[in-house]
Amino acid sequence: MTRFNRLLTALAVASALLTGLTMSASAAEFDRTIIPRVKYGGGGDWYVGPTSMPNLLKQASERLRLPTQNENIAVSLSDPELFRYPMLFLTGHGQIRFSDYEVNILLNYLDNGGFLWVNDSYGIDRFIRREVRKLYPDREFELLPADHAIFNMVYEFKEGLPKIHEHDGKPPAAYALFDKGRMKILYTFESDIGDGLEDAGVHQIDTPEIREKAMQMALNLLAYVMMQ
Amino acid sequence: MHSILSLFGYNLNPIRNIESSVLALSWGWAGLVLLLLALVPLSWWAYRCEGKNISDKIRRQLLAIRIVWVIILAFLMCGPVLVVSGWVPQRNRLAVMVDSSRSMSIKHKETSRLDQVKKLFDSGFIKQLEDKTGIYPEVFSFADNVSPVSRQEVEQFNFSADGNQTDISNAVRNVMGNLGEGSLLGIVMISDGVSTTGDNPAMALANMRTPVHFIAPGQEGETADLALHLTRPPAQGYLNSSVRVRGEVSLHRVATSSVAVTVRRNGEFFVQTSADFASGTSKAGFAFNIPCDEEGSFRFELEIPALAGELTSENNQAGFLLKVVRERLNIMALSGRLSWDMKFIGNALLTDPNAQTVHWAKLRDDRWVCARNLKPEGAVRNPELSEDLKIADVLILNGASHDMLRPVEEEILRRVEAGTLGLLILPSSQSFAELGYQGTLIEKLLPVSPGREIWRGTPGNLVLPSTETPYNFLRLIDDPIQNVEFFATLPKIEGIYEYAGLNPGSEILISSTIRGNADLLPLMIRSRAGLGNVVLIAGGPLWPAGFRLVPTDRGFSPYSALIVNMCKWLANRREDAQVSIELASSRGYVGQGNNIRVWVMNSKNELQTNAQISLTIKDERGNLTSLFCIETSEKGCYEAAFVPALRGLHSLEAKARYQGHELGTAKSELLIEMPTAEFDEPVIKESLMAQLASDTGGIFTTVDQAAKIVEAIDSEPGQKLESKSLDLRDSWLLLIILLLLPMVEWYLRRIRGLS
Repeated sequence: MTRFNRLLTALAVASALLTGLTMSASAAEFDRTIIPRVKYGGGGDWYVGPTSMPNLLKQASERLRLPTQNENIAVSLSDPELFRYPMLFLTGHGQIRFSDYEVNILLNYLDNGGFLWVNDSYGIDRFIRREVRKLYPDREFELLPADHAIFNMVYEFKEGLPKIHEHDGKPPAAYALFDKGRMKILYTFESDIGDGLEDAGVHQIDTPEIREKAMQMALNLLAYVMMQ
Repeated sequence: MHSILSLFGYNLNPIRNIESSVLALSWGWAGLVLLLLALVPLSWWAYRCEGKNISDKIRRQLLAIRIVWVIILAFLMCGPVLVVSGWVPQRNRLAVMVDSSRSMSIKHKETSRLDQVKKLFDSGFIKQLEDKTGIYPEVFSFADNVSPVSRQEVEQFNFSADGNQTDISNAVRNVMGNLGEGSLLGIVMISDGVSTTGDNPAMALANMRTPVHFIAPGQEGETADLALHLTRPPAQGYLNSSVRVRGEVSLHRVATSSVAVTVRRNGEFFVQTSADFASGTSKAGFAFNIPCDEEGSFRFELEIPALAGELTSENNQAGFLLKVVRERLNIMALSGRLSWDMKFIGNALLTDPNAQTVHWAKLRDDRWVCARNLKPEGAVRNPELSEDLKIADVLILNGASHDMLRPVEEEILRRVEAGTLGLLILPSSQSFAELGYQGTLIEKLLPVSPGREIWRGTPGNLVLPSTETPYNFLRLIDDPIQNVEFFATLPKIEGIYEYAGLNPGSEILISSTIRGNADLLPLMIRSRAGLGNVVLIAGGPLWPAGFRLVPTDRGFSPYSALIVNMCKWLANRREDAQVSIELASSRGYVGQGNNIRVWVMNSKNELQTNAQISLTIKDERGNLTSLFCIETSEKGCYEAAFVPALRGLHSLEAKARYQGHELGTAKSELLIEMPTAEFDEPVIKESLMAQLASDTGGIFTTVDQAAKIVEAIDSEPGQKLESKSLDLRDSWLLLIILLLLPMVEWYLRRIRGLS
């Protein structure tokens, strides 16, 4: 066999392998999960913890075999692309304000199957409750008991929502807003699971065990949202 | 020429007068020239080698004889054929075709169309044709089929307008095949031009050489008409839901902006709706909902008002039978992993208050999570699935591996084949081979052959193969054209699996343009497994596409309707009986065959072969018809054809026996109506008939001016041009000449002392 023939054979084999790889890889890409963060108004730091969602998605891919797109994506409520994402993540430390237009869009989003996870990094409690009241004036957040299914979806949390980041020494609480029998908003208060999802070293006090707890709780939440 | 050829012994029959003749050689003229170039010099050279002293005169004579002989020989060797063409006398024929479909009973000014034909015949039309052509026309009646009418029957006018459909193209082809197109002087067709079935006559008759003359028994614009038409009326409804009925009203020479449609249920007033006409239009749709709040069979009759002097009132009513069955939509889903598709399908299903869902998803290792009616429960290890499967009407498989299905695999197959479980297979990131389906019982249920699966990861639109889809769940919008457009404008899917091929009996419900508009790939495929239905969706993601649609004005509802109605259809609602009757439609027509299928299972709920099925059909007057069902190629399926003679509700009862034991009885109902296709468009199609006549060289006229057709028909004695090939080697005279020439040469040589 000449050098040219050998080269041709090698190229043919390589292209066949690549074709096969591309086909199997592209099949795995289908139905990918992306969880964007909400870019809200009012001045709060909606951008805090940029590594938390990519880390959660990476673990969801590894532990739950979910096809994911591990990126930190932000979306404003007025963006039509909002409806591409079945679940949203909202976090921060300060003021949150939705315009009337955004309230309508978010209501439409939630009524049609969307889900909002609000993570209290610290100090958003007053503002998020005010904004959620605009969405559902006749509904109140309900405290989820420790035996709620969300604490036992993939991993067991017998005590309920775990405490990840200490602020005021208050106990962690998971509040949910239910409408038409379905959980539409989960508000994790005084726990800061988002902090625990960030890269190691971002928060020095978060030990690997604490970070694992945060990850497990977030995976429970993701599994719950996808099953309801 | 004729005499010369006869002298040479050639038979020219049946040609009498030769029009032309052409000489041809099998080897061609070039072959003859080459042969002569070889033989003539040889003959010349042989002659010169004799070396004897003779006079020039004798030399020329002998040489000429020899050359002539050589030329004739060479000519005959080249296979000479004389093609003679000439006129041959033949018997002419003339056909008169009378439309005997039901539309011919429509009256114009108190006289039916067929009565006008009778008047025409009574006025001596047939005699006039006979006098003009010298032949008595062959008369046929045509509607469902074509039949010759004897002279006596024509004289007695033995025609009746009772045909349920008209196929002009087939009727003309049939008559031509019967009489032979070459000898036909023409066809005189007396018809209203309403062709309700078969090929488009404008296409089928366009290239005909025989003139077809049309006589219309009436005029297009004589009277007004209102017509009511139902678009695929529903046959089944589900308790506590509603079904939508769509129809159309058409006007002819009626000026109105709205027509009231009265609906009666079991003879009592049910609802009134209206068809509202936009300015300048002659057709308008209407629709109404029927709430299914009671179980049972209901006969619905729709009616529009009859006008005074209307063309026909046969098309002013329509009816259908609706069977309402108890809702029992239990849906079980098995997922190999979490997916948004299943979340949104679950949301869609729960828009129906009667639907119950249970979704099991395997998370990791042996941990499974379950959501009942979308209420998630905590994870469990190795759950018992058979209890949920037992009550499920539909099973959705979403990337469920064969390992997950192994404990319930046999139960799934048995129940699908028994028709008590429908199967919906969603696409997943793993192929069937990766899921381990190959060589398993689950593979038997797939509508595709999973031998070769290729993922095409490019976006594509959805395409409904037909505007008139027979599946109600694919009709998301009332208007069929808008429905097709709606599917085409839905958000694209991201990719699709391409399979080696569809299994026999599989049907494509939705296609995709992923590989291009001209090369569609099947996206939604259905197949039958025993009595059960299986639907495979080969591409996706299915539901995020719908989710993205939310900001538009259509919202989620079309998607929810698609999923809910498809699952209801998959659930199949077959009674848990061992014998069940399957009808293609709950509505049939007088005089038209209905295929009735009976499915039989034994006490183990397995499809039973070699059973004896007797089917009894009772009409409204109490007349009984007994039929014996014949076993079909499908296991456990038996079939009989029933041609009803009367309209009204018919009760069907099928009894199945096997080896002397009774297996069970099934009952059903069939509503028989008079066919209305002949009255859907009752107006005489003057322009169509004029075009057909013009295309074929005939003329179009009304009954009053039928004499024009008599004048137009060619009365020349019939003759046709025929050709005959004569092989010139077959002539005895040529043979004699060929033998005589050497003898003459020999004689001359002898008397000249040369031999």
